[in-house]
Amino acid sequence: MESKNKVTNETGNDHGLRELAQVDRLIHEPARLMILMVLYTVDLADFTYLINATELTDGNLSSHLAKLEAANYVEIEKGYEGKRPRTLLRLTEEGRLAVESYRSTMQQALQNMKGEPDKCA
Amino acid sequence: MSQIYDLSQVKRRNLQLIAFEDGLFDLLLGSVYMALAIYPVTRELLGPILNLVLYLGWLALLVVGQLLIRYFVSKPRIGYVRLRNTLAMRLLFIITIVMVLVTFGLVLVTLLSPGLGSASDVTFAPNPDRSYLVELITLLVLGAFFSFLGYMFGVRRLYFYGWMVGLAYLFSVYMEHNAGWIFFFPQAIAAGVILVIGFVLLLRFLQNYPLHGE
Repeated sequence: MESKNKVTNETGNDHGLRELAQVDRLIHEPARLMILMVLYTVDLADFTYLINATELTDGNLSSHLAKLEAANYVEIEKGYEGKRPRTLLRLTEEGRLAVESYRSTMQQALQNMKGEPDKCA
Repeated sequence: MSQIYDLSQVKRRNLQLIAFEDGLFDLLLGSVYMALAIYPVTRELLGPILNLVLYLGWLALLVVGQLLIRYFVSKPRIGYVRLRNTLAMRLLFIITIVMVLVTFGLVLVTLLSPGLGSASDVTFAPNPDRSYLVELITLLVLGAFFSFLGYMFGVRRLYFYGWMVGLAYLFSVYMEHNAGWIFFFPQAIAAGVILVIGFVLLLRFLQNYPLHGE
């Protein structure tokens, strides 16, 4: 049986590129991908740490976190450490599965993109 | 940007941020080695027991000072992170603890070992036939230990530290036995280099990581 990812017809519209269409667009955005990759490797991090690790601005990070929280990929816990406010962030189980699924989809898609590009004269 | 797709790079970056970005590790290391360079001189002045007490006190002060600076200065700037408790992390933690204990043991052995004798010892004579096997082993152990740490944490300067300190120790002992040097001058230079790097890193850290309000 021919694989779905191989060339299967004469129109040439099934070269494994369909994998790319299945990519989770919420994760595919570079800044959000950075946030998720950092959170994927740790158990818990606060807002300040995430700013340093991703080098995003406060506003940018906040807006991306809001989107990730709305999708239930990230859990946000606001609290205090002494008198200072602290926002703790953690990847949810759903977020962890979404990152893993994104990684395998992208790896598959990139594998299917092998080959030399045509060179212009 | 490309490194964000590599999870192992992200993990290494986490470790670098927590442990090496503020230069405190370098300052602690440089201070310990500087103390070891000076110990033969203070032993002449204080005697072995008082010297040992002084150095253990100094070591404790350095460790406590580093922890306090890390808590009050570095943590508010870097932020809080709790790493995942994976098997690799546990293994790395155990290996690091064992290596630190071995280093601490070596420091104790060095401090307790008998010296050449008094600085005013008129019977001093060069000993070109002395074997330097112990110092060569120390060089290899330090080189391998710091290279391992450098590789695991992705901190390249640690390779340099290990071999530099090992070679400086070998050269110091050689000069002690062949020229009668009491002060471990090469080791002090190596420690000084590490301290300067640590200070530069700390200044750069304070500049690059301002205090953050949420």
